[in-house]
Amino acid sequence: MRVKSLAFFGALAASVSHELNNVLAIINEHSGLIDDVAEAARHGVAPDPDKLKRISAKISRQIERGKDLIKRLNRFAHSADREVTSFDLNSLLDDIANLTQRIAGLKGIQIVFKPAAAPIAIESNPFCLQQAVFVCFRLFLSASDKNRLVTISAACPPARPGAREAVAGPIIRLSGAALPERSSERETYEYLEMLLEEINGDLQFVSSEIDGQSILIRLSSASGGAGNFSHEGASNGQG
Amino acid sequence: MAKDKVLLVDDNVEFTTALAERMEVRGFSVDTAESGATALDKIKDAAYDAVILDLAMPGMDGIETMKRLLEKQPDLQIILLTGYASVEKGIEAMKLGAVDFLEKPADLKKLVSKVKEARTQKMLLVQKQLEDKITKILREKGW
Repeated sequence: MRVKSLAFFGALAASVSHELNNVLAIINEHSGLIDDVAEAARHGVAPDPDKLKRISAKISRQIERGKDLIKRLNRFAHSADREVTSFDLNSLLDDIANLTQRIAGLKGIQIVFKPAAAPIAIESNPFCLQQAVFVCFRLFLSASDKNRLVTISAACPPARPGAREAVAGPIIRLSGAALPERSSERETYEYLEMLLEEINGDLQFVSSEIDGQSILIRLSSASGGAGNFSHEGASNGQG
Repeated sequence: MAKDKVLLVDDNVEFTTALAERMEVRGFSVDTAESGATALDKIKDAAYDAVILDLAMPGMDGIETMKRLLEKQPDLQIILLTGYASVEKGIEAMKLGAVDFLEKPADLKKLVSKVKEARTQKMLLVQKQLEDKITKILREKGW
């Protein structure tokens, strides 16, 4: 399990570093364009202010993209700091969907995240949960289906009076391409189950439903998962 | 004198657009393609002195694209652009027929120099093929 966790960490780090490299490549070419404009000006060609504005806007956009990637990577890296910590499930799923996007993109698949309407405050093991979601993505990516969209959504329905489950809990749903048969990806399915059983803290794994095209993960939370959550104060780690 | 004609293949459109503009300033005629499939279409209609190809692309990746391009035009001079962690892939690509590879972000001076080398290489190949053809005809004629 430790080896697989390291492999997961490595896969995301490698993917993000490639993405950052692409950001730098675009910045590099656009700064080169500014050099070319300056060089032409030296030879009497008047610089076009609109062109310079356009180039500068593109550089700024890439800097923002790079900052966003680094911020998400930093939060992900810190998610392994403590076994149990407070976090917003929406933010966590948004991060893992975003960080996995390049891996999915190379297979021609787009990941879309649909957050719950309100933050879902939970206290658990964020690294384990992210890894479980990543394994779900891997299952979808291994499918040869023509559906090129995988949607991940979070919800936290209130507990029904008299329901079997004593407390409400978040639900994570992934759907999209046809999932591979269990027989062809037995090890991956087993690993997913093992990760879900490992979820701890305030959060407990209740059940998973896997049909041909979707994975539904039901969790229960002692606090109900819909408390007043401070997004700033309870991230997976800072700095 | 005709401009050297280059095809840039990368799914990162902002990158190819800017690089194409910089290469055009340096006297190249540049076409771009967002995917391996588009590159295969483009080589049907134009003769390129060099193809600059990104290794990591969605769908048909750089290696697969290169194999298919070389099947269609075995003399095509392909320079691969790779991320920093894929030098091994770059070497593998050279074994499969790429003439060179560069790490991304590429230094434009190096890239321009490699494209010029590739063009020279292509001219030598064309010249050699022409000489072989002439020799064959002369032999057939008994001269």
